Amino acid sequence: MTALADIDPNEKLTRYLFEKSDIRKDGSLHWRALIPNKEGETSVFRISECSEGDVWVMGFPVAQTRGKVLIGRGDLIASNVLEVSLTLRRDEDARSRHADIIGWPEEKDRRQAIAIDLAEKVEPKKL
Amino acid sequence: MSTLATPIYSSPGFLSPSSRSSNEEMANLLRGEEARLTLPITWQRKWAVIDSVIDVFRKHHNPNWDGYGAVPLSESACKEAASFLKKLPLSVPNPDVIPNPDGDISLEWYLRKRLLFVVTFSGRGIISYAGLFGKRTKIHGTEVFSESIPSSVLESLCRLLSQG
Repeated sequence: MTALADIDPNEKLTRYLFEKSDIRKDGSLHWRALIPNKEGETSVFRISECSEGDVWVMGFPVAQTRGKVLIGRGDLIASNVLEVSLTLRRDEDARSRHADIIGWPEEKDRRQAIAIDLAEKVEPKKL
Repeated sequence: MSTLATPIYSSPGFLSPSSRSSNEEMANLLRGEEARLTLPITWQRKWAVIDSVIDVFRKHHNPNWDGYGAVPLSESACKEAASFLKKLPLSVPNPDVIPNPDGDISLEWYLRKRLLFVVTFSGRGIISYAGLFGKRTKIHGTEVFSESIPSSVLESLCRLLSQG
């Protein structure tokens, strides 16, 4: 992985979802779905120029690798990430569509506040 | 007000997903359940959410429960959340119980989009909180939690509920 600043702010991203509770009853995304892993990364995929069907098809192997069932996804654009003072790091392999949201603060309260903020900008979609 | 019967919840390993109840423990549990049925409805409601904490703990005690490398939920965090709930005024509505990928557990009051308050427990005596009260008002912070619920947390909760 390499930190690259060349992700277009308008680039579309998606976060694949595996827990039913990640999408609230009112259709909004739960902030919990964006909390980073222990390495401080929130895994996303770059989906610009992908058809709606392709985006879903890309999600199935992701779910399979993680031993989960795909239940939905949360779409956002790269600038949403920058607006909450986080950054993006895409995979070194130019063919890979994977990227991580990074730059999360260490303090849990700040991290949660940012996740709440970012979740407001995400458009969740159920499979 | 009735006295709470808490033999099971106060025992050290009550959250242990692998612990097998002995006959005596089971008898205690049944006695506890019987006592709970005689409690006022507000207390029964409170115990229901403490049961949810236990349930969430049991469902999230395996590594990678979220598919993104989550850490198993911490038993001490869950006990801290249960302790917080016991101290919460009865007039406060029950929160949702949210497992966190870092092993913490959160209690969340979600009224609607942009109107929510979350308190998170790590089991180390420090609670963190974050909330959104409309489009422009965001709060977050940390507090020591031991004997009583920090006033800043209660104030934030009241602020949220007054907007409901």
